[in-house]
Amino acid sequence: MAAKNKTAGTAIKKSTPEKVFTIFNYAFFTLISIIMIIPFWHVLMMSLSDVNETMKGGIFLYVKGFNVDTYSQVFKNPMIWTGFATAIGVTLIGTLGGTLLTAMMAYALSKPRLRFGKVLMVLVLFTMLFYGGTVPSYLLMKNLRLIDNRWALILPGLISAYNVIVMRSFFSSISDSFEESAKLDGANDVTIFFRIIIPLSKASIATIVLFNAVMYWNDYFSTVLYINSTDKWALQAVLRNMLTNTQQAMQQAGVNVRASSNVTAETIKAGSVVVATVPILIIYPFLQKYFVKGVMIGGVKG
Amino acid sequence: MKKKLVKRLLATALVTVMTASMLVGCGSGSSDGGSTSGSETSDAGSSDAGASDSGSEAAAPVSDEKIDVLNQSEKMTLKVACMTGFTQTDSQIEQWLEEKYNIDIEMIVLPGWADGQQKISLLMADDNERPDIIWWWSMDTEYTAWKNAGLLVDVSEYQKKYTNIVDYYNKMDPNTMFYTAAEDGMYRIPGDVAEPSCECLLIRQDWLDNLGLEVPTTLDELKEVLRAFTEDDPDGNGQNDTYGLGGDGYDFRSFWPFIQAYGNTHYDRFCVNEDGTVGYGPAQENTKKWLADVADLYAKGYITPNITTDTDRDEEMAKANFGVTYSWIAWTTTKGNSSAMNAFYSANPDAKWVAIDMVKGENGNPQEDPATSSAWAFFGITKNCSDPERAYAIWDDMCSEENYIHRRFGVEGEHWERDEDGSVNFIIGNDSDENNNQNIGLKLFDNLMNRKDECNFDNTPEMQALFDKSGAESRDYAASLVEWKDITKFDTWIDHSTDIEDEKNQYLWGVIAGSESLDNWDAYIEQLDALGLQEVLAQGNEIYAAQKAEMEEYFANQE
Repeated sequence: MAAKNKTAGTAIKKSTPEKVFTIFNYAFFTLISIIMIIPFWHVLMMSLSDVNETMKGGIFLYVKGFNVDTYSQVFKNPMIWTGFATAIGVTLIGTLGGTLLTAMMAYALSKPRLRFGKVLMVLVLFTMLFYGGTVPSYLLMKNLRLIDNRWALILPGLISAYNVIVMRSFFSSISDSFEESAKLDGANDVTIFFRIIIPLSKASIATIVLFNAVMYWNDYFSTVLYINSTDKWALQAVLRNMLTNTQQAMQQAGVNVRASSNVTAETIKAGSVVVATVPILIIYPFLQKYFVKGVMIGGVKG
Repeated sequence: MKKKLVKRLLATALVTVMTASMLVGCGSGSSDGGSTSGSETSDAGSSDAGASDSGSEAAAPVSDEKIDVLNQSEKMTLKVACMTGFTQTDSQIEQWLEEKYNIDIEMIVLPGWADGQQKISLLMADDNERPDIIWWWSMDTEYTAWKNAGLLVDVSEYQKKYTNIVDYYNKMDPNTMFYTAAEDGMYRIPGDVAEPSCECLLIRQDWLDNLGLEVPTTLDELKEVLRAFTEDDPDGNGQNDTYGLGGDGYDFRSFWPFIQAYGNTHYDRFCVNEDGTVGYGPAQENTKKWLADVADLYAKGYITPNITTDTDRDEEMAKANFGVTYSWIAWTTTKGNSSAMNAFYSANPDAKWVAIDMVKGENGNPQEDPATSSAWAFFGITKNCSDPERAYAIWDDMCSEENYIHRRFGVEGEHWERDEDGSVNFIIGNDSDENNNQNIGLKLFDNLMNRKDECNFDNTPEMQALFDKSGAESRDYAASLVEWKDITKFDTWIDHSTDIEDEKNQYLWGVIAGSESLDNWDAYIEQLDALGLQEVLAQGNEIYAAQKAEMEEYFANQE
């Protein structure tokens, strides 16, 4: 009872303009959210709808004639499973390795005592401004003997200059006194980094984890460039191939058009979007609170 | 002072590094000009290859003795790049081919239409990864670069000894091999050639019956049917919700019945005039006539309003509220043959689309829209192949009627069977789930030589008859159109085509939609000329004359 009274006593009464503003805010952001959600909802509903309804086009706010043949078609393809395996492996290794290397590099660059630190920072920035190009990248992978090797899907993306800058900004904001007191206790740089700095940087690290995970999960172009064997293709490349193969009969002058099952290019497209997106969406809620905080810190104090 | 010096040195070093990096990034381009696909990697194909090769060379002497591909003791590895059809590895069909020819097939599956050309360029640029057999579509500039760099093998001598592929194409259309050949040999093999004509005039028979109308045979009768389908409530629902003509939006092919009615015009190809000169189809005088017809019908509301926007052909057909369209032959036959038609018939179970003869127009010679004789996709044997003659011989044998049917449709009684009337029923279709789940491999190496003759079981007999009829009734029009053998030589067109086609689309669609006037025709032609049309036509006429002479010589040599 006392607690209730206390809460009631400390509440600030809002003026009418403030109330109107709050209502407007809620309405506005609800509308924005709906605008964001509707395309995905439409795709989800279309992927579960009857093929005849999807052929007619339009917006799908609900399932029109329930049909799961699309998912059946997608998951019956054995390449989807090797694609999942590759994508999961690449995302896990790439995310863990990339985050660790990014953090180590950013930590070193955040220290003013690092010799040639500014020059190194310029070199890092340089890679943000200039890209070597597809052909030099391919030739590099070829010379490293990584063509048709899954490591070619991981290594090129391990360190991103943008992520290094975000983390460096965060590390710069950590007071030097933590480091100094640890040194007085006999800790070396490695111990300080892993035992003190990393635990203090959860928000920032979660952000980089999310950046890396999304980047690796969505990457299909590395497969296009570097991988020849279909059993090593990442999921996104498999889905893209499945989609274009479904469409190709229509594209080639209408020859040999044959509806062999209850799916169309449109439903396959919708199903592929769902299959490709849901796994990465699942990890989002777990990291979101860190994600927002991490980006804000990196942005404000950079 | 010392600090300043260090800074200057550092700055200089950085500038050097940045400049060098930029040069590396951009330096892969070669001097062979643009690319039809516009891909960055296409230049790599020529430059990398060009560094190690001296260019195309005459084919090595080939002995008269044929290789017996079925009795080879040495196992040969055949790395094949493909994209469409069956792409799982170690399928039953693949194993059958490996045992039959004592080969080890390694498939490189290209990633799809959007990125396939880039991958092809990279593969061709890489001496280690280049496949023995490469497949591609479009990429004329790249093909010329590969040929000139000696990356592709001249198979012209092999074609004299192993003749299944050449015999097939010559049977279907002798022009195909002419358009495929290079001046100094045969460095590519047609992978797929469209039927001579793929479309026909479709009409709602049930609407005709409801209104007591006959099938139109002339352009005027067709116009009257379009009026009746719009104004006389052909579906009898009491609502003004139907149109005469509909179809693919922002696609001039939807107006083909009107275009062919006058002749000597086309929506995008070059035409041959009576005096033998070449003209640009959309700038020909007769274009004005069909444009006037279509604009008039559109203004009267007899054509679906959205035909001037870029709609989806399948979607339009699935929800068709029109009674006439010019579209795929494959949509004409039995119900259940395409997703679009399935969707349409599910909503309109009593409807009946039928194919009718093309209507006769002012020129008195009804014609279907002709497809080109040349292939849209090719494949070639690369210099990486350890034994190009054996590779060609194997592929040629794979394309014999019997082996082609086995590779594409499987075994009779197991994967397909014939009805009493001779038509084929699939037990396991080549697009079916069973094919994938059981890893059978039907449709393996799709588009690495597809047959469109009696070996093509995908077409029902009715559909095949329509293809044959439509093809035969498009030949006169085909003869009046120009087909360029080597578009890379037509550099003025490559330079100006984008501007010219933009202007053409803007004006023609403007007239149809009513925002432009046919009275401005002269201004339209002047604008095309200002964009380089006369320059294009001057070169086009030269190339056409040379091509015609080359064609005559080619066929004279064939005899």
